[in-house]
Amino acid sequence: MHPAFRSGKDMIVAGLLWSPVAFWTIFLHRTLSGSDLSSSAILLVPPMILLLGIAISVWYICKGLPFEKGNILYFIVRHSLTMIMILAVWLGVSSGYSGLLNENFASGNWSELFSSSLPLLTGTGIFTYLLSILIYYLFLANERIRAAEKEILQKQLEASRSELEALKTTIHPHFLFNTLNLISPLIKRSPSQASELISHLSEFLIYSFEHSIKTKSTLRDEIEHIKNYLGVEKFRLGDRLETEFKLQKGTSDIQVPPLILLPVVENSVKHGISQLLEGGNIRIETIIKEEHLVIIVSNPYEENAKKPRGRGHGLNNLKKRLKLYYKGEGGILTGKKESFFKVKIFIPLSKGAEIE
Amino acid sequence: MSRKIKALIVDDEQLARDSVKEHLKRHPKIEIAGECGNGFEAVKFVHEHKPDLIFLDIQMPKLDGFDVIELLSENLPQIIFITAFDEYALKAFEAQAMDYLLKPVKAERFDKSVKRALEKLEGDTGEKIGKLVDHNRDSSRPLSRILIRDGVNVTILDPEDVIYIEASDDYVKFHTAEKYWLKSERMSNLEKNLDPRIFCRIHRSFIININFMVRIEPYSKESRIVKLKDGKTLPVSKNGYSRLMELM
Repeated sequence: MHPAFRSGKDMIVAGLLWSPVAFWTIFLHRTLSGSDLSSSAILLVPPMILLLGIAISVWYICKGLPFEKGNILYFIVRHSLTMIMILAVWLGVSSGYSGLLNENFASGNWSELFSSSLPLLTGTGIFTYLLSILIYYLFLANERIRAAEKEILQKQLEASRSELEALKTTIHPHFLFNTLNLISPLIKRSPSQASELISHLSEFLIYSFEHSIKTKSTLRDEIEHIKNYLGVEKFRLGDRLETEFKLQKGTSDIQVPPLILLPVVENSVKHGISQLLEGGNIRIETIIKEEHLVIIVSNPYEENAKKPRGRGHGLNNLKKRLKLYYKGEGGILTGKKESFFKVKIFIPLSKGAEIE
Repeated sequence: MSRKIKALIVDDEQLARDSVKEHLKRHPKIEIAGECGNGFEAVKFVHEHKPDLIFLDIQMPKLDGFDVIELLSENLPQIIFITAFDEYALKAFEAQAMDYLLKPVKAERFDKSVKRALEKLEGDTGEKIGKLVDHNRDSSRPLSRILIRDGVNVTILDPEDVIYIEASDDYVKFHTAEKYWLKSERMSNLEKNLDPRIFCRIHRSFIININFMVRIEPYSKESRIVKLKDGKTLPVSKNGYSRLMELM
């Protein structure tokens, strides 16, 4: 769209640019020709309005003739020819107008007055044309810069989106192998338990796959997902794995990014419970504290455990994800105290609904 | 062979032990002498009941299958390793061309491994698997814990709690604030695996933890001694002195 018509403000700016040129021309005409102001105005206001129309339409010429390095001669020639043609037509029409004035107003020789002002009008015309193209090219350059900036921002946004995707927990193949290893002896021992295990696994997988492309979930669904995960692990670890959920009323419907609990609870099982001879209790608690939903996952751990391989990877990824999601307002905290490991996930409540 | 083969099943997962038992139903020559849910129980059981054959899981809490082997270093029974998919464990086995069973265990593979183990038991060819333990140890990282078997009990020492280590025939003594612990191990091997930033071999027979050192004193014209925080003094050899200087 034409820059002068994009908003009311733009139109005012265009008007403010045009008025001094018009008034200046009329005053100059009066001084030079020695006629009175009203005659100059009658003779020149319509041509000046026409000139405003020309100044406006020059935009389309500028758009069709971009200013490029290495093509300056062609650029100058094209604009010069266009300008001469347009101004010739403009002067012709203005001269015709003065002829009309001659026929309709008896007093004064309008055509003669017009002829004497030809140099002034030509100068004004050239000035207006050049000023217009100068403004338009500045405008176009500015637009190009903004478009480039927008493109950069767009790319950054896409990059952080894909980073978010990549940071989402993927299903560990070990988990699948281990679960399959459980199923095979279970089928012989207890087909009904085997089918229970398979249903936990399949619900776990469905949620994991579905939410690997989604960006929203609720705490309720996340907890359900974790229960399925722990349901599977319970078959593996038996009595060594105990779980406890303590969810504050009203927290279930809070929106959270999907798959934020899994890496934390996986960590609790892998580095906590499964390293303990007697096992222990994984406790998952949710509370609302000031402006945040806080999810607390705690478990006992073995201080003398063999150093596990690849520790903390899942938690680091989660930290990055929450940072990207909430622009620094969400995050996780980890701490060890008296052979207990605790992870706190902070979800800002105000931003909950804004996640795309 | 007329007598039955006594087998021990070691796995922290009940279902996995059940699976081995299920497979063993096809082998009447083998009698299940016991089941253990962790490495500590396994070490104890082996010393008390001397089984002929162990089905040993690798992934277990605190003491894994490799640790159990390390602790049973003498009089090892025949071992059939069973492992879940774990690239590190598989690498260790493959590097030593060891036989192992991958979960979930197939009947055919299980029978083959059992047959091979029985043949070895009859031929009584004691296989050396001590090397496997060394291989499993991540050589790029210093020892993060020292496993010690005291009769049937297993103790895990944190190297940082060890004040000094003393050579004693085929054994080494780990001196801690409370007591010392004996382990069958060679000084040179130990020196290689300890954290070189805190442990220094000051003498043919001594490695010290420099965090417990107070000062070095001249002893005679050619020799020196170190004084430890608990007041004890240890001799420093000429080479030991230069190593100590380098470290500090």
